[in-house]
Amino acid sequence: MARMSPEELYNNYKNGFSGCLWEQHVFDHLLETSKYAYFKDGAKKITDSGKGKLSTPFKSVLNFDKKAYTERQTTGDCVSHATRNAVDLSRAVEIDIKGEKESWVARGATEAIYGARGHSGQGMSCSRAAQFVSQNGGVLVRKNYAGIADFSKYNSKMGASWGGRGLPDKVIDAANDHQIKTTSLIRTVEEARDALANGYGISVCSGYGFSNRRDSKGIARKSGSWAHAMAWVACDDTGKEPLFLVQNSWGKWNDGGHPEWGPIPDGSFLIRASDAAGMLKQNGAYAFSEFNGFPPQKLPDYGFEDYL
Amino acid sequence: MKDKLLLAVAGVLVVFAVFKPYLENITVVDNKPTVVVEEISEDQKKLVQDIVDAVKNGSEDRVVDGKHLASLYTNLAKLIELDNEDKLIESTSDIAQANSLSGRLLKLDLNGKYDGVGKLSSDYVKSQIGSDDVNLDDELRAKAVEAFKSLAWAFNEGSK
Repeated sequence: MARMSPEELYNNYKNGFSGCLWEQHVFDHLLETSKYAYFKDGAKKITDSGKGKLSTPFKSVLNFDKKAYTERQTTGDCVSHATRNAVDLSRAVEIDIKGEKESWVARGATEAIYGARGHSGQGMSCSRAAQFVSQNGGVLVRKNYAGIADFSKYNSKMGASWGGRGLPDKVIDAANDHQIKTTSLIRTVEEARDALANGYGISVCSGYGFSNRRDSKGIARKSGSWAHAMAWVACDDTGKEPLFLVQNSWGKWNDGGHPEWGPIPDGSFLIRASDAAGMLKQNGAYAFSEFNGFPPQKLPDYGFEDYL
Repeated sequence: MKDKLLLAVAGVLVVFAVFKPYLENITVVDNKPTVVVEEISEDQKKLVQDIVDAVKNGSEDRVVDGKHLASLYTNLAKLIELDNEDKLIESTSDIAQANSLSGRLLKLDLNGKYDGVGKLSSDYVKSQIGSDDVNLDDELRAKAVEAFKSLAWAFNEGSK
């Protein structure tokens, strides 16, 4: 896949390009080796905490990096972008709550995640990416790691080229310094809602495609099939059904309306609960936590940022 | 269910409480809209000065937006102040949800017009009443009331 425009990315996925893959053995291994393989096991204290609420944790990411969601994938590394965006959300909320802005450093880097996919072709499984950030790799950010690798600017060729031969040891060592503590499979709309209400980002691999036009309320209808990964970064459960804000990694590929609660980032769109449920049933959705399990977190907001 | 009912009632009351005084208390003096806000202490003025500056440096609509927000926060302060059998706001999380709901029901949609003012307001309120989800005792309720009155003052000043 050569460097592509947002429109070309959209058409490529629409026409069958596989950005996300299924690896049963990695999925099984992750479930077997994770302390909280299933979200419900590590999230008992937050069950139903997102019910009836508007939860917009992506605003914590934007507090630290206004252009966080403008980074556009230029190869088939959507899984690494979705995973990075989800991990960044969890990281940003924790830092925002603590008020330790300097801990943010920079948005996450995608290259090592994609480089850990285990083959030289395109595409990756969300299970393998989740395994990398939490078990055999870790989180690297957009900066120059002197003598190791320069991740300060997105370089799709780096991650693409590491796929077949694997990551350099130095990169793995650097990543190991910061591993995500808990990665769990999300299987229901309610779990996804509660995760976001407590500031835990979610990466979702699925076969669902969506329209490039949002309706007047920011909702995109299901359209076609994409083997694709995207991050879920907000949930609005104040209406008839939970709506999820999905952040794509194709730059400004879509347009249309915005929800009443405020403008949503370029490239994002809301999806309905029925579509969300269908996506989650495909066993490719992971929530990330910097803690042991998913403890309650109060999002750093008194409601002002919903309209100001 | 109780929470939903509480929030719905709070939201409706806030909307009425905002629009009514908007009509009664916002007057035009020398061709400029004016809203009546309470004076606050010099210490509080220092704490909300960043908000005043952010509004002043924002959109040209600040003259109207600032007055509208000053009116909203004056009335939210009244809502929080309600006690005993009239009590609607019981916790810090109720304040957050009533505020969010009010802004959305009023379709204020001011995102981006006043750079950083949402976070500044949020940080200010957190500095006054914390960020934990706790029930309001008399002391915390009084602090919350004072915080929203100070916000009203700040937005009114910013609108000038």
